[in-house]
Amino acid sequence: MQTDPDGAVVRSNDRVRNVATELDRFEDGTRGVRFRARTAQGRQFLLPEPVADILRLLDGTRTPRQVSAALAGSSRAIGPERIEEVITRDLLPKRLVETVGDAPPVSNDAPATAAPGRTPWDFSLRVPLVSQERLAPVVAPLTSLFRPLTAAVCLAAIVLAHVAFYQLPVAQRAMPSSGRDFLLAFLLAFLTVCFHELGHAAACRRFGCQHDEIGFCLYLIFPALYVNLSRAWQLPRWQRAVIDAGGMYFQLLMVVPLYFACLMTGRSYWAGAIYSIDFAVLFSINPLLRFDGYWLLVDLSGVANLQRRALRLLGDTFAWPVRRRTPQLLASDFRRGPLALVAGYALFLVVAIALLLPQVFLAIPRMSSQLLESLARIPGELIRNPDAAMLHLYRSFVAFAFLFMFVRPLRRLSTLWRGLVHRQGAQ
Amino acid sequence: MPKKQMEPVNADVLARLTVEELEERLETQVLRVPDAACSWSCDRVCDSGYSCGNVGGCSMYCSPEGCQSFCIDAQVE
Repeated sequence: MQTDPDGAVVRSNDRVRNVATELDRFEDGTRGVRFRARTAQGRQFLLPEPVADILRLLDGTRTPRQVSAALAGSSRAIGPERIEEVITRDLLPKRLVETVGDAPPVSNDAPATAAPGRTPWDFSLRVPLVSQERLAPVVAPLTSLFRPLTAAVCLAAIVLAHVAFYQLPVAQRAMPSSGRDFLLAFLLAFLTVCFHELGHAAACRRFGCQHDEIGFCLYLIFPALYVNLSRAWQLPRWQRAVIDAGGMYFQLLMVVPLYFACLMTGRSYWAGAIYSIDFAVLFSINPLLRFDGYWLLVDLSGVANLQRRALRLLGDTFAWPVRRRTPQLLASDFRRGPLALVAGYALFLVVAIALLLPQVFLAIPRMSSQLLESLARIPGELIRNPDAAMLHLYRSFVAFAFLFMFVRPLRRLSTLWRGLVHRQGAQ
Repeated sequence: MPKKQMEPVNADVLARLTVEELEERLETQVLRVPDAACSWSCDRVCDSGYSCGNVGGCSMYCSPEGCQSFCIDAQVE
């Protein structure tokens, strides 16, 4: 019997054991019931009810044939060959089950450490910075900011601080007046982004759910901080929506002390930081990219994997003239509302991609020369004009992030090409 | 169970047996250079004897409007 999940084939007489650490119902915009399963490695999957039934019955004592027999009396009868296919095609490669052999049983306790998953396609770089264990003592006291009365007071303070700030003369021209002021404004903006991530984590803890690490990433071309909240999928939709808004709530809360600092000192960098917060919050509402607005849309609508489903719908639609196959999503049991949302989001993506993609490709030579030019000028400018050097440093970082975005797609293309060459060689 | 009864159920079940991975929830927030900093950089660079053309790679003269539009371009990039 093969025990390696990659490429293993399960037969009717093999005994198979469920090693999922969690299995619970999941609301997903479908007419049928879905379940969420989590592996010991931290990956999570959406299972249709019949597959969840199979998974539950695979307790290590049953073979696919016996599972089929156990289901025979129910309305979801499935033949043993189909069960073998589900196990071989999905459950075994995804490490939701293992064949009963020499391997010791996997503990059903979820690992306390960060659970690495597949980094999404739009993250060109991801570096964990602070683990969950180190974050826990910082996050725990912050959960009180989500008590209803405290939150109401804080929200009122945020509104009042904004109204008062935009009356100040310094708010009309919030420009740092020196390199030092600029660095302070940037540092303040960085701290507010850290606080933003703590807001997500604190909301998660408030609802009794574990969060994972905080890290640095390059999201497309944007340098960003992230907090891994993958475990929050186990929470109800409204709680997930609070978690999504929690980051913006914490970041906006920073405006209150910044306003008082600005009022007392009149220094422009305080004002610059407040502008930065407001812009960042407005920017993160954008649902096109995976910022807070996207997650709010996902959680309020209850449609998981919205972007991926929309992209797949687009792929299936564009492939229809060749394959003549109904897009998978349209053949599924999605309700009309969620289906309309995915279709609308797909249309939104088409328009955005059509507008942005030509510009992105046209910018490649320009960004390459900008990177080289800026890097070449930084050493000389550091002596002559540090302000210009700082600007060139910023521009070279932007150009580098832009070009770095293509690394993952190029690596993927290279893998595909090597696979193709290897296959041709084998023939 | 007799095969005759199982076939129609299987056909329906087959279409709905797809296991899908849930996307990772990485909630991100962009680290931006404060808005005002770019305008400041332009101002400072222009004050120091540079023109926006030198810095931005465009043919603008050093004016608040020109610098502002360069800075917006730079941020969009």
